[in-house]
Amino acid sequence: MKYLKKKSRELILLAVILVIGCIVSTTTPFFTKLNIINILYGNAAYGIMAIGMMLVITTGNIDISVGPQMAATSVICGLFVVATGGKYPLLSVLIAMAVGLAVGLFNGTMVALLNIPAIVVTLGSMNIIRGVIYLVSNGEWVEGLTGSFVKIAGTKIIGIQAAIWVWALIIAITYFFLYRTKFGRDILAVGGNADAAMRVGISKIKVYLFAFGYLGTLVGLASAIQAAKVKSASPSNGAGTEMQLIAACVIGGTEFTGGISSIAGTTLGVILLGVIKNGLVLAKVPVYWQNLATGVIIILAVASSIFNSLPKKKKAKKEVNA
Amino acid sequence: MKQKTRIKYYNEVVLAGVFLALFIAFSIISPSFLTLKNTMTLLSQMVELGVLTLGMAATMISGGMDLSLGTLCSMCTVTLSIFIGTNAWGEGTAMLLTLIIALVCGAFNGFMIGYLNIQSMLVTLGTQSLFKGIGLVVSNGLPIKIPTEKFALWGRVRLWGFLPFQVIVYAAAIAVTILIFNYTITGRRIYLVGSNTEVARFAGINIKKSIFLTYVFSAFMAFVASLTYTSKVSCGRADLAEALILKTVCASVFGGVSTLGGIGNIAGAVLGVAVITIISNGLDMMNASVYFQQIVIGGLLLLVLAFRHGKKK
Repeated sequence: MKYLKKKSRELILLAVILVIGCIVSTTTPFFTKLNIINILYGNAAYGIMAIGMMLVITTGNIDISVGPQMAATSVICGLFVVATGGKYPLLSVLIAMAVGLAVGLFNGTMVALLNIPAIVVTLGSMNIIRGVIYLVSNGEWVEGLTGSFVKIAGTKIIGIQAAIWVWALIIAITYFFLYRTKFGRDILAVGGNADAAMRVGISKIKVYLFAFGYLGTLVGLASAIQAAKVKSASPSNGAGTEMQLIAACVIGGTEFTGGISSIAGTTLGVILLGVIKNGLVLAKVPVYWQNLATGVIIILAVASSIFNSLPKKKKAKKEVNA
Repeated sequence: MKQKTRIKYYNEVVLAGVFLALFIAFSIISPSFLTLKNTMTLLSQMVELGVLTLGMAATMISGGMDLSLGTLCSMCTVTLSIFIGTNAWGEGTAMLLTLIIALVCGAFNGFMIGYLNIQSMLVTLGTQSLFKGIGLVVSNGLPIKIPTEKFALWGRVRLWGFLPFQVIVYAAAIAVTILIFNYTITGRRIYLVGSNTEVARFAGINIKKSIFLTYVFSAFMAFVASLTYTSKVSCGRADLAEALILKTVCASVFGGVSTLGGIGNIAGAVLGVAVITIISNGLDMMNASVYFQQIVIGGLLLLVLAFRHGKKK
């Protein structure tokens, strides 16, 4: 029972997803294997990045330069693929991840060493990266991605696309090191109270660098998958992605004050946003309703958190009185 | 005491210096920069960004951040255009109704953040999407036109043949905001709430009400910006002002308003807007690409911050 209470948000999210699915399936089949795999496949890139974003928010920071990072990594990866004819798929993905890592480490350094609020640092780097990538690419798309590279996302392993397997792998790895290693606990500790964590000897700088670097690497991975999926890369890639990711984290119960995170919640948040999009399309609702629905869901998710915190506050007050 | 005042306005003096230096530099480099026409263009380019920045700076001073300002402003342009263009109502009625809509939206934000005590970024992230959604649904995703002869005063009329009316609107908005935040009790309370909520509570300040009022104020600024914007382009669109929102954060931070709350000056934010606008206008005059401008603004932001925070240590 205690376990269920602890996981109440995840259960509610799961229920909401199922209810939406049931509503949609009254008109069109929703719970088919094809549709479910389509939703997962379509949101795999978002899901991978959302895990990284969750980690950054867990440390009490935020990164709004994800969109330009996606553009930079996918364009550079795309140029490499075109130059080599797509012969080295693994190397191409690694290059995208390395570029993302570099950007992430830059952000992390500015935040950790100069003590500047993360939202402002990433606001600056967002402008710089977007500008540089447009200047370098002249605003042109990188097209004609060929070879074995374009198969990395869609290749089916046991009937499920590789992109979904990668997503699952990232979830497993992140879960393991965040909850089962000492460094993972350090991350949560710094997010919960940076000063207290520093006093017990945890390096804030290391944690911040790791979180931003991890997000950058995952963005590189995700944009390589995305590029392989659509066989092209554009310098305007990823506009508005950061808000989508933050929304998924928030719906999943991650708090901006840091220290509180849920991998399952974040993943369900991504899926919920994907299901809303998919459901609205299947139900033939005009596309303009998507923003409205997303907004209502975020507000409901945010408002629901006060019901969780209300009893705790009362208890705390009683203790003070006693 | 004297030393304190000097430090207090140090940032504003530096920014004004940067603005003047840029103004002189662009005047020397580009012959078409220092003309009456371009100076007026420069001023009118500041208006929407500037008015929205006033709202953003206000919420940042209170310790939060209103991410929904841009889409709220866009939604107001849609409703204004529907009332005036499609329904052919009087301008006064349309403005009044839009004002009420904006204030209700601001009150919703303020209620959620102030009274329910939810983080401002979470709430406004949701309402950002919500307001855009409402704007899109109401307008069916299409730009809604206003007949060009209507609603010209706010964005297209030039007094005495040269001074755009919107500049006067901007000046009035600045004056009101500075008056509120520097000279009224409500404004000073918002500063204290932003810098230290606990102390504010012990001082007997109604924190909930102060935060509520801040978000209503920022919604009002979104309404004012929507007036000039709708009039300038003679149409309403649900994504018109969305891209301005990060620029307003940029300008506020540039002007010395801290994202942590309680620190900063409205005058500084106004100067921040001026510097950003003059950079993009001046680089336009030199035929530099928009992307290069982005790099310059982003780089300058990081430099200023690194300098400011480095000095603090």
